[in-house]
Amino acid sequence: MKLSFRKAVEADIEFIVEGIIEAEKSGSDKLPYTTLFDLSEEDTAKLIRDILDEDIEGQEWCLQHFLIAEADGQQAACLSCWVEGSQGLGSGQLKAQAMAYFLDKVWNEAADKLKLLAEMQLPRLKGYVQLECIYTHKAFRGQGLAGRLIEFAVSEHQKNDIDFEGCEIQLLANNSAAVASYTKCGFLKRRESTCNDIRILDLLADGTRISMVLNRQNG
Amino acid sequence: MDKSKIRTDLSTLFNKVFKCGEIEITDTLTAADVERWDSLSHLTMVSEVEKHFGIRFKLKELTGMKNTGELVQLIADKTG
Repeated sequence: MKLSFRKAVEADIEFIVEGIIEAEKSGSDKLPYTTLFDLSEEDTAKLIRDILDEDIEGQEWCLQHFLIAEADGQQAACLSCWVEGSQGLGSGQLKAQAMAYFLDKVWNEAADKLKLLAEMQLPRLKGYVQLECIYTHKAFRGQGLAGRLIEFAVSEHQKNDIDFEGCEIQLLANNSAAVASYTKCGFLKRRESTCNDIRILDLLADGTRISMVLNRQNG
Repeated sequence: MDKSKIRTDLSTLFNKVFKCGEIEITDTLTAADVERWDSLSHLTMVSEVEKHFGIRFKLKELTGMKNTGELVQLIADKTG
């Protein structure tokens, strides 16, 4: 299998939308935007496309932050990477701003559910490269592609960014396969945050969020 | 609107939203400097600012804002 890595282009948008949706499900059938905002998967895909179109740097749903792994010329895996806080506002604020803009009243109606989510929010490490929306198409799973793509993303930042401090990945605790895969890449669990309100499990696959970090010195 | 008046009004609004007490609105102030300035309170702050000053921000303006200095400038531009 011939493997190559490149930056995403507009022609990758549908693959990226699929990747974001699968990554958001965190290995379950529960899509947070369906449970939070009563959006169908189709409406969620449209919301993601709308935000990707805006090209808002500094948050995960930005086309120019995506990298693509190709296997024998086919899109096989993707991830989003950006430096947290490089655009002033944090990625959480930028993404929330974009979502609230497009969802309008639907966003306001979800206020109580959003407060539950906020309870388990972990502030991302400013200046750290953030890796998100890590996804491998099912036809290419079990071959270590996501790990190779992560290594590529890390090495590109180490090579090109003199201020590179390290990388952070945030994920839900239920996704043990992903935790094992990131540990294999050298990431260590740094902190976690739990929402103790049982209603969180109506919204997400797990009530605990984990932050894993790869510092420059152990990279 | 005069920038010093905008800063005074913002200080009151920030205190209401972030419950941060009296806060000096400097040009370099960012979300990282205010403890309760998270993604949800950020949206409340934007909504309060729009209501108070009678303005409406575009998405590009909101997501491109780097600090409160730029927020003050935007409000000054919109209020004339």
